[in-house]
Amino acid sequence: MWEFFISLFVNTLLWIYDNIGHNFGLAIILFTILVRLITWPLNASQMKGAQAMQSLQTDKEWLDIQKKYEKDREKLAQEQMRIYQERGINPFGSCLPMLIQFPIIIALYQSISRAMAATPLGLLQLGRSLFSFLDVETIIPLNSKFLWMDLGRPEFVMLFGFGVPTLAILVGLTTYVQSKLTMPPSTNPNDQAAAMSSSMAVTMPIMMAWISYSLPAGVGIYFIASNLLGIVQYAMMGKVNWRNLLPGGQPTSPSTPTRKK
Amino acid sequence: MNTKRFTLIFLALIGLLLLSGCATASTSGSSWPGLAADADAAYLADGALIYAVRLRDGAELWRYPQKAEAKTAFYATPVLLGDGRLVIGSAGTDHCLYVIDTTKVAADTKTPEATCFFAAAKDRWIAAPLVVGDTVYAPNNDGTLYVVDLTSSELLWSMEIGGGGHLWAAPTTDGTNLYISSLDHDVYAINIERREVVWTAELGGSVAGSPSLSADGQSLYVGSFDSKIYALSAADGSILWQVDATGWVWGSPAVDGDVVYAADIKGQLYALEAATGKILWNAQPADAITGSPLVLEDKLIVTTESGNIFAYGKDGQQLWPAAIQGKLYTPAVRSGDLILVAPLVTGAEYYMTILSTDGVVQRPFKPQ
Repeated sequence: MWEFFISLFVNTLLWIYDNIGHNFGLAIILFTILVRLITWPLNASQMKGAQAMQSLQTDKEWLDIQKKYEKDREKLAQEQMRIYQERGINPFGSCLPMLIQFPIIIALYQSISRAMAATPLGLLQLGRSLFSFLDVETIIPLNSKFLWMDLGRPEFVMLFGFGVPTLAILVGLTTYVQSKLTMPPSTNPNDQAAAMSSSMAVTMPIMMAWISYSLPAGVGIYFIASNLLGIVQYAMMGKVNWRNLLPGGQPTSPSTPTRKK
Repeated sequence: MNTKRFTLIFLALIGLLLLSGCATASTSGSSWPGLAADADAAYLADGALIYAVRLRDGAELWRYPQKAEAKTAFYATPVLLGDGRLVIGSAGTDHCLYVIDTTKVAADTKTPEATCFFAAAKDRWIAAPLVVGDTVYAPNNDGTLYVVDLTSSELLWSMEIGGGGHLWAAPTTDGTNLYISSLDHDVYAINIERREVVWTAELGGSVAGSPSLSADGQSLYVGSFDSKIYALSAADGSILWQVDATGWVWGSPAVDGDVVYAADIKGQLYALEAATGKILWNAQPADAITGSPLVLEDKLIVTTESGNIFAYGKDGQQLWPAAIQGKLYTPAVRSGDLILVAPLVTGAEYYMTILSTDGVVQRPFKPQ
């Protein structure tokens, strides 16, 4: 099953590659757009879920029940469930779509790696993964050159005698920008969830940059494209906090919590 | 609420770690063992290590490096020189060409004297080098042929071949020209003295195996991913004949006088008339064959992906089958009356198996 999933991804990726003049970098970007479009409802559901959960943090009724039933966990849980139901919030609404996307991200990574076939065994596997509609003879070997990069190798640019991993830096930057722009608003200085989000906005870009530094540049291209498309999707849903990017900019709330009548 | 966030963050971090872990796994799990042997020992390049194995009893004599290092990996076949030195390129991040002196092994660490004598290539070494005297002709995955002096480690000259495509096969030479195949679908003839490409033969698919030269030096035989076996003129690269196979032809064809043996990844083995390409006989021993057939005096040996080894008489009669655990992608190697095979280690208990030329397993090798 997993193998078929990977095979489907690889064939789609290479079909795009074959139809756009054998440019693998562009193929990865178009493939990322395609995957983003397919997973659009999942992403949207995750964003809405996260936003709804975050809005509760500043909701008066929510804060009241936290205080009121501080020592009665069972009653507190019941009251929380009541509020979820009344407002149509699924408490797992932000979690499940993200879990579903994990296999997709890992499959994407594996597909890009397999398509680049950097080893003899990888090349043999690639040959066997391709569907008959693809002209294997002309596709292999893939043209892995894109802009200044070789997509099959970790990227760096020599500057003043030092190898600077520009792609990894770009991955870190776009991850940071995406995290900041999509950080849910919080007016409560004691909001631990918001503090955690702020902390993640710093640690995730560093981790993503570190991962990209050690992986083939093709995967870095995917990360950058995916981050930018994530920002676009947030913007289209009106969830972007542009002020978060300004130094000292206070987050604004793009939407206020509303009660379901 | 906070618990949920922590769970999410934890899952995200685990996912990222898995993702980064895949990178290492994909490299270490994809070795392509290479073997060389003399009368007493076999030299097995497998993954991050090279092992020397005494053929008499299967004992490990030494290994290099002493401990596996992330920067070193070996996919190429080691080249054993007459004076006991091994030359091999690393497919790891060190991009090193190593020379290992098998006659100088430290008694305490059981590690041979080894030197990275050239590390200026931009990419990994998947092709074995060709060593003539003190000159090493080494094609790299960066598409460049590097010519290095083994004694002085000096780069004598280098040449980017074609569009800088991947060079995965050892060059062949007739003393005047080097013949180099490339995954970019071309075979190149390079005049050694003039250091220029004499001709380029464009084939229909990638060429992963070395060109094999006929005994008279007039013809070259190559297999291609367009499922064809070609005979090329060594003088101008023109196609003398071509024969359809059923799948990719990965390994180099083996030349035995007037007969050429080749095999494809659908498992077909062909005996072809060297002059005309006429199919003398063909057989399907089992499944995919990626290694070149090994030609002995009275038989030829082929290894198949499923871990089978077959001997065929030169009339096409199957003489014996043998089986080992693991997948065999690289060819069998001969040492006197013994045949050595090295499976892909993943899924195999032993790293190498020693058989007699009549197919009886003598002893396996497993690192201690």
